[in-house]
Parts: sequence; C-alpha cells; structure tokens
Amino acid sequence: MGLMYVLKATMKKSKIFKAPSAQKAPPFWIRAILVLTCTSVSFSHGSNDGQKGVGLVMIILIGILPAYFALDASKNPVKLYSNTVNVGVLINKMDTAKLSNLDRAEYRTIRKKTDTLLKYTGNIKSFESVPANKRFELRKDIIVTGKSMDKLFATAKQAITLSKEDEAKLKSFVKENKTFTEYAPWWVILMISTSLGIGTMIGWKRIVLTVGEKIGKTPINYAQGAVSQLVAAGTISISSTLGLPVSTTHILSSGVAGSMVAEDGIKNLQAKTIKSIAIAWLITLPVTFVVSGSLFLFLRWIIA
Amino acid sequence: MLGLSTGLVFLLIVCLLFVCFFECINGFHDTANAVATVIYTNALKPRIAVIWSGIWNFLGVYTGGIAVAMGIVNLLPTDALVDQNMYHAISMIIALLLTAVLWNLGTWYFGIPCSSSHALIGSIFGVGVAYMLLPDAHNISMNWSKAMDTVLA
Repeated sequence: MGLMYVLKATMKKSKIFKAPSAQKAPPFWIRAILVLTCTSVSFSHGSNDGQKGVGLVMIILIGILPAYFALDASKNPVKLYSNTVNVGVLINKMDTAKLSNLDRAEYRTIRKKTDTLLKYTGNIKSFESVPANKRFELRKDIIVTGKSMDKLFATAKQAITLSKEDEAKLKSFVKENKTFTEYAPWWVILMISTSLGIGTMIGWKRIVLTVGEKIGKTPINYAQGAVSQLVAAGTISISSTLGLPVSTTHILSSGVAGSMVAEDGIKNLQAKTIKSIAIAWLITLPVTFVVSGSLFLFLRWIIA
Repeated sequence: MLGLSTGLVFLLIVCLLFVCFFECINGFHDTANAVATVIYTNALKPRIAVIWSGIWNFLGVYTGGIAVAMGIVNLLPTDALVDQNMYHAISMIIALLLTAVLWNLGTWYFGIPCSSSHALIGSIFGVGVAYMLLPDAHNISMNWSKAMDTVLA
C-alpha cells in the first residue's frame, strides 16, 4: 500500500492507473511486469503452501506406516552414531550443579535418550537392518532429545556454562540428527506439487472475480495489480525461508485492498465484500479449531 | 501389502487422496489470487495465465525446501508425534484433514478468498489441544511458541 503511494507520486497521470480497457492487452512493459509478478507469486505460493501439503503427507505416512517412514532410510546411520557420540561428549561438559529441578529433569532425559541412541546405532550399517518397531523408537529418541535440548537452552543457558563454541557445536549436531526425522521423500513432493498445479488450472474463477472486481469499487488497474503482487511475492518468500506457514490469500487480498485505498481513499472499497472476507478470516481459526478438536475426541472415543 | 491389513491400506490411500484434494483446493483458492491481477488487466489470457501459474507453483514446491513442511509437523504436540498407537494417529489425521478440506471447499464455493493455511493450522491446533485433554496425556508440551509465531504472521 505504501509502495502504491510512492508509485503514484512519481508517475502522476500515467496510463498505468487507468482501468484496463476491454479485451485489449496493455503496453508491453506493463504486461511484462504483471506476468513477472504473477510468476513470482505463483512460485512463492508453491514454496509455502505446497509445503503444507508435504507436511500433512508426512504426518500421515509416519502415523500409519511408522516402520517405513519413521526415519529417512536413504541416510547413513553411521553419521547418526558419530553425531550422537559428539552430543554425548558435549553434554558431559555441562555443569549440572546449578540447574533447577525442572532443568535437571530435561538434562537427564537428554542423557538417557543419547545413551539409547548410541546403543542402537552403534553397529548398524543401514536402517533396513533395524527392526521396524526399533526405528520408531530411534525417531522418538531423536525428537525428544531435540525438544529437551531446546528447552534446556531456553531456560538454563547461563547455568550450564558451556563455551560459545561448544554450544554452537552441540546445537549443530542435534540439528543434523533432526534431519534423520525431518525429511520428505521426492515422490511426496512430486505428488503434492502435481496436485497443486492441477488445482490451479481448474476452478479459479470464483475467487478471481472477488479479488478482481469485488474488493474495490473499480476493477483493479495495472499499477494496483503489479504492486500488490510484488508485495505478496516478497512477503511469502521471506516467510518460506524462515519456515513460517503464512497465508497467501491474506497477503494478496490485503495488498489489493491497500492499493485500492491508496488510489482513491477508503471509500474506494466495497464494504460488503470486505466484511464477508473479514468475517471468514476471523472465524476460520476458531471454527476449524473446535471442529477438528471435537472430531478427534469423537474418533478416539469410537475407534481407540 | 506393506505389512498392513487391507482396511488400513485402503485408509492410507484415502488419506493421501484427501491431502491431494486439499492441495487442489488450495491451488484454486490461492492461484486465483495470483492470476486475478493478470487476467483483469488483460496482461494474459485466462487459460494461459492459469497454466503458467500452475507450472510455477509446481516448481515452487519442488525447489522450496522443507522448512515450512516441518513447521506444520512440529505444530503438533511432541506426544502426538511420538505416539505409536496407529489408531490414535488415524483419528488425528482424519479429524484434521476432514475439517480443513470441508472449510476450504465451503469458502471456495462462496467465492471468499479465505486462507487454507489458517484452516489447516486451526485444525492442527484443535487436534493438539484435544490431545492434551485426553486422560492418558502426560508430559504435556504444546508447541505454543510456534503457534504464536504463526498467529502473528
């Protein structure tokens, strides 16, 4: 929205603020910018929203087929062992005297899990030779070690008196161990990206109408299109790198609304559409929260 | 097959189809956002625009890394992630998938550009909190810091 003001100030009365005329393609350079920004929104959308599907598939696969997907079978268990040896050495250096009872419990958990990991990974050459139920145990040990370590560093950073270097090393070993449980096979990514691609190509009309015509009183013009796209692509890309799942929809729709306001002030918005969008946004989290929670409890009650 | 009973294999396939379906809806929800501007400004013909956008979405998922994917997985409480009981896992999966898909489909039907991410995140929290309400839940550890990050984002 701010960007829109800047653009407007620099290019007064330029033709990019005119509403597009029917059936006529815009001048080449405007067209190039619009296509480019659409491309980057699509790309960043894929890298953020597509990932959510990948995460879901992994929850399913690990839940139903833990024996096959609990650990990244393509990785070398020897590395897991050597990493864990290093973790063991480093946690021995920690000073436990000043820890609170709660932190000491975390410390003990880390110790215990590290020992079990060492015991089971000491003499295996590949994960295939590990019995199915043991693989899930290994996964559990890795996850619990990681979480307890996070907690320990969050609450007792001063008390454990590790040197800066040792702390960094320890964190990187734990992080590398996590890659054994946090992974996605290539075919999962392929499956999700194909679905997303197909979904894109069908059924887009309803929403296009809302974004294009119903948010503002005038249909969006070239500058509005480009600005809201640029802002959206940028914001989403940053969030993807940070590992934050954000909403493409919120970002882009707000971008369009913002550019409408910049153009002609707040009266340029269609109150009715904005209201229904806002209500839907507000109730999405609580409604899905309650519905899925009760459904879960209900299912647990009947099948487990 | 895969050491599972036929019923479970069937369920697995249904669940995977559900996710694909969820992604499809997400595709038409959000791409609409991406292409609305080009279509309305006549920069591209609708058909070309959606195919173009579809291809770039595909590339985005394929090259995007898995940071966000793991962010989603880690929204669940640790206990739920390390629960070895398959039926617990199944109730969890069905509950969150069904909710997210229905909400998405509903808002798409009414043409509201609503967030599939929030639908999914809301469902995951719902399951997470419900999990903590269970009588046999011990060592409760909901991922509140991640939750706050997401809400603020």
